[in-house]
Order: sequence, then structure tokens, then C-alpha cells
Amino acid sequence: MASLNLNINFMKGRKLALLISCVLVIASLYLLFTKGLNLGIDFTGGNVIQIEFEKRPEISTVRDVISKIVAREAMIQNFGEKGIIIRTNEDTEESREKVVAALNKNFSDMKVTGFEKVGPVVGGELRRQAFIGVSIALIAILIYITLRFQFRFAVVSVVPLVHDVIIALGFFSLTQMEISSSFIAAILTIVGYSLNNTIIILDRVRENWHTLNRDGVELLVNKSLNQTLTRTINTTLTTLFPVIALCVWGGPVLMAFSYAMLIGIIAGTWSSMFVATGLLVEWQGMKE
Amino acid sequence: MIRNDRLRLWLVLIVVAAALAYSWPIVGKLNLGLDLKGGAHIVLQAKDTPENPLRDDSIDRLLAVLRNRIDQYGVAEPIIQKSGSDRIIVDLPGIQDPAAALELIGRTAQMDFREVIDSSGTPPPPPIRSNYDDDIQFVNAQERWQNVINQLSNASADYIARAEKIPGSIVAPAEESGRFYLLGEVLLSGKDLENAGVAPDSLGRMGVSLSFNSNGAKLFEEATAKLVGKQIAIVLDNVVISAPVVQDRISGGQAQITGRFSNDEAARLAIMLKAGALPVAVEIAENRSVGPSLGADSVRQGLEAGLFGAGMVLIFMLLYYQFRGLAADLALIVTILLIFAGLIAFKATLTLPGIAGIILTLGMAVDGNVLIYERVREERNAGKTPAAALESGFRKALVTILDSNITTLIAALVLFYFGSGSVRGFGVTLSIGLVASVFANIVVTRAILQLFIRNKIKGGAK
Repeated sequence: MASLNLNINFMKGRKLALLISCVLVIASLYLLFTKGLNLGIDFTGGNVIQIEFEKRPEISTVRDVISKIVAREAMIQNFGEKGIIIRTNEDTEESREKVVAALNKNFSDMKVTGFEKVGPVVGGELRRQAFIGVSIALIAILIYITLRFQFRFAVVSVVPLVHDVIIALGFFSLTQMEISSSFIAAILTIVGYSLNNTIIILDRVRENWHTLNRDGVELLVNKSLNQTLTRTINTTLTTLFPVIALCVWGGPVLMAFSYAMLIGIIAGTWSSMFVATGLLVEWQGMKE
Repeated sequence: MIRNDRLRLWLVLIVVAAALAYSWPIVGKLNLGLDLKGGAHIVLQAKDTPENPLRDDSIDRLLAVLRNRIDQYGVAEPIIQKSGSDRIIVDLPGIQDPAAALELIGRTAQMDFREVIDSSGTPPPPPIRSNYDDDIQFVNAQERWQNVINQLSNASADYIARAEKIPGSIVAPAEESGRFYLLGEVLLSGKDLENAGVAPDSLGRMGVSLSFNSNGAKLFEEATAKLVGKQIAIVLDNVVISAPVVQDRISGGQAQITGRFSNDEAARLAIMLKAGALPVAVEIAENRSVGPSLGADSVRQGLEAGLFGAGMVLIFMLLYYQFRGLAADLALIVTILLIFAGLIAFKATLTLPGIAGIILTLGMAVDGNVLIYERVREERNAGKTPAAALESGFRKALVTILDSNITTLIAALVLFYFGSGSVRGFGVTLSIGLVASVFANIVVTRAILQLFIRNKIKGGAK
């Protein structure tokens, strides 16, 4: 069994690390405010069209026809006995007519049995709920960590969470990858992962805290980071294996979810090793 | 110590056996989401009635109540969207009891309490030929029966006439007996309800317990004080569910509805009352099945990638930690089993992103094993014997594992409680995953390792 007994001075570059994080967060926020996110059908609403066929074609052939017309992913499902139902995220009449015309050209035996403009699946109310939920969760986490550790530890473990989420969102703004409702779950998973990572490092810092007066905070944090390094590397690897597999082979449906996780895990590992600990060292330094 | 080990081993075996028995066979027990299996496509048409006219915000409020009801019913991950100006599309994944689901979303569930001013007799059942000696007696019996029915319908007409003169009063039939009531104005309505739950009454029949907010409690106390010795009717969607005689003034805002509910019906009614009445009446305009929104290809691709990733986790643990990696892998398999049992227990719906999330949970679940093994290694380096290192390594890692998992669990439970739809679903899956993996880490892994060490010591002694 390999054994790492390293003594890397992680905290030497903490100011640089914090600076890099600051730049990334500011850049992400800038992108979010200027370019925004490419919201998928779950967030925007659009048109629903119901079509009946004499003989229903395969969904994939219908998808091939439609994907040339609508700019973004449409949701196509079998409907009842002989119908299909199509959801697109453009709600104009023009876009609907284009879809119907294209289908008419390819399938002669079809007739439109219904159409309607629809609202978003994840509307303002749901987004507000998710936001409130996350805020309450953060406060609850702050309280728990304050009780189990110290208030300072609570603050430095919540900052990385915000950091990771903003960077993941920034990445999606940059790439303009389309996001669906499962993206919310991915963002929440990132929060869970990053939190777990940070707590484990801070737990070791807490355990070593009695050497504060002898070693000073910088040495203490370095020692803790080195002691938990093998664990950090191994767990990051075991989490990255499935994520990379999903990114590479998971197909278009899981693409946004998988990439969000990939960015989140990288950001999460970085932020628990450098941001949380760096802030703690700076904070302690200010106190002294 | 040995005693504890044996207990732990038994605990693991019992939990695994129970989880297996509970979730086997998994097919049919686990709800698959709209993306994997499709479900029901239901269109609700809001109705503009004089009592509840359609307003601009009616549909938005309707959306909120529907979402609330579906959320409380299970973790269904539905699609709920506004369609046009006065319709709502609800796509529900293939849940086990479609009729119950339809009732859950289609029923207005407007509950109120009213005074019983008058009530008719119960119509007798029609005569049956086999109970009579000859045709003449039977015809006479039929005539007598018809007279009673006519009298009852006269009484009904009379009630309707009287109801027009008493402001706020209505005529409502009883749920099953066929008797009908002339009821006074609304004394108290479901708006003042704070909570509702399922509770059996003193005779063991299923009922729904109600607790009112302070305003409701005050109104209820006034109403019961006024009606001592008289009947009070509990009316749901203009049907009298029960009409008990008020024995005494009731303060404190607690009440109970008993009727002929089955367990499931009582649970559904409690959900509907808690989530609130629909702001407008709705009609089911369409109810058809929809196929999965993902092609079989995408599903297969996602599953294969996920399984491949999970396989890599297993292999990595085996290569890096060798025998102890095997213990971790076994613990991971127990984790998977417990996650599926948990998903079934919470009526959760599995979607493709949900499966991806579970696979990620596995990557994170071995974290506990990594923590323990690294800790044990540190203890070994400090010069302890294998058994002592295992003991103290476990003890020290336990604090870390618990702290990190409890922190995340707090977040997950908050999301389950405050979230809706997929956020709520995420909270459930994450909570189940955390609890399962902590159990696997600290109980299963330990039982397996202890077993191994004991056998090794025995083997060494030979």
C-alpha cells in the first residue's frame, strides 16, 4: 500500500490561491450578468403540439425532422395510442407553424389534434423555493458547525460553497451549454461534495488545534492538509471516475449534469484545500 | 468486545436480509420517472363558477396547490405547467394507483363545518323479490317503497325551497346513506386549518384529525358552544361526510372526521386538506398515457457510463486497499441495496439524472472507508498492533465521518422539507444515500474487517 508522508507547504501560496479564486469568482459573476445562462425548456416554457398519425413513426425519426427546425432540444414523447406530443421551447406561432409544416412534408398521414402555449415547468415560484431552501440550508449548516467547531470554522466552510457554485454557473455561462431542471440537482450535489471535503479538512485542523500556540496557525493548517492529503486524493479520484465516465460516454441528456459535477468537484477540492484553509489562516493572522 | 462484534455482524445480516426482502423483486416496486418510463398526461380545465370565478391569479394559485398535493403524496417529480390561459398540464410518472392520483389532483377538497338545520330519513333499500311469498305482496312492497322515496324527494324539494330563504344555507346529500341535509351557513372552513393527519378514532376506524389555527379554534369553539346537543355537519365538496352530535363545547382547535375511510383514503384526504382546497373547480379534460421522454439509446448510454464509473470505483478500491478494498466494495454493495430499499420506502421516483446522482453518491460513499483506512494506517505507523490500530482508527474516523455527513444531511433534509419537485427528490435521494453510506462505513466495514482479523488470529495460532 502506498503511503504518502509528505510535507508540502500548501499555505505558502495561500495569498496567490485566494487571488486566483477571487478572479475566477468575479469573472464568473461578470459572465452571469452579461451573457446569462442558456435556459432549457424546463425553465422557459414554449409550445406543446399534439399530433395523431395513422401509423405512428419512431420517435427518433420525428426527432431528426424537428431538430433541423427548432434551435434547441425539443421533448418528444409517444402519446396515447397513435399520437405523439412535442414540447419545444419557442412559444411563437411562427415556430409552431414551421414545425408542423416540416412534419407535414415528411409524414403524410398526420393531423394536428391540439396545440397550446405552455408555461415553464420550473417557474419563478420553484426557483424562489429552491433559493429559500438553499439559504435555510446554509444557515442551518452555519449553526451546526458553530456548535461542533467554532463560528470561524463555520464561515470559512460556507464561503467555499458559494465560491464553487458561482464558478460552476460561470462555466455554464461561458460555454452556453443548455441547462435543464436536473442542473439544479447537480449544483446542490456540488454543495454537498464541497461541504463534505471542507469539513474533513477542518476536522483535522480542529484535532490539531491544541498545537496552535507551539506551531502557529500556518504550520498547523499545513500539517492538517498533509495528514488528510491521501484521503483527499483518493476520494477525489473515486468521485471523479464516475463523473468522467458520465461526461465522456453519458450522452447528451446527462451532459450538463456531468459537466456541472466535473467543474464542481474540481472547484470543490480546490476550495476546501486552499480557500477554506487560506481564509482561516488569514483570519487567525488578523487576530494575532 | 467479542460480544459487540457478534452483535454487529448480526445487525448487518438482519438489515441486509430485511432490505433484500423488502425490495425484491425490484421491478414494479420502484417508480420510474417520466424520462425513463413515461406516465400519465393529464390536462385540467379550470371551471369558471359563480362561487369561484376565474381570476388572473387563479391558475397560478392552482399550480401551487397542485404542486403541494403531489409533493406530499410521494416524491413523484411531475411536470406541472400552465397551458394556455385556463388549463394546466400535469404529467405524472407511472404511479401505482392512477385512480387515486386523479382524485388527488382533480378534487377541489373544499371543507367546511355547518349547522344541521334539518335532515331527511334514510331511503330504505328497494324490495327484493325472493323475500316475498308471491307477486302481489312484492308489488305492494314496491309501491310502499316508491311512496317513501317520493316523500323523501318531496322533502328534498321542500329543503331546497327553505334553503333559498336562509342566507348561506345549502342542501347536501350524505356520502353513502342517501339521506340529505338542510345545512346552515359556513361556521368554519378549511382555510383556518393548520394541520391534518391520519388518526384512528376510539373504535379503531380510520379518521382524519384536524387542528385549526387560532382563528379557526375560536370559530370552532363558538360553533360547538352554540350547537350543544345538536348536529354539526362536516361537508367536503358539498357532500356531508359526517354529522356528529355536539356533546360539549370544544376548545383548543382539535377535531376529527370519521367516516368510512380506508387507510389510503384517509391519507389522501389529509393531504388534500393540508395542501388546501383548489382555488377553482377543475375538470379533467384529458387523461392519456405518454411514453418516456428519453429515447432508449440515451437511457442505455447513461446507464452504461454510470455502471462503468461505478465499476472503476470498485476496482480502484480493490487495487489500492487490497483486502480492505474488498471490504469497502462489499460495504458499497450494501449501500446500493439500502438506497434502493429507501427509494421504495419513500415512494421516490427514479430519473436518469437521479441514477447519475446515486452513482456519484457511491463515489462519495467510499470516502468513509478511505477516511477509516487512512486513519488506521496512521495508527499503525504510530506503532499499534493491527487490532488496536483498527479499534482506535475506527473511533477517530467516526467523529469525522459523523460530522461531515451530519452537516450534509442537515442540508439535504432542509431541501426535502422546503423544496418541491426535483429539488425535493434530490433531498430524499441524498438523505437516503448519506444514511446508507454511514451505516455501511461504520457498521458493515467494521463487521467484515473484524471477522477477517479474528479468523487470521485463529489461523495464526494453529
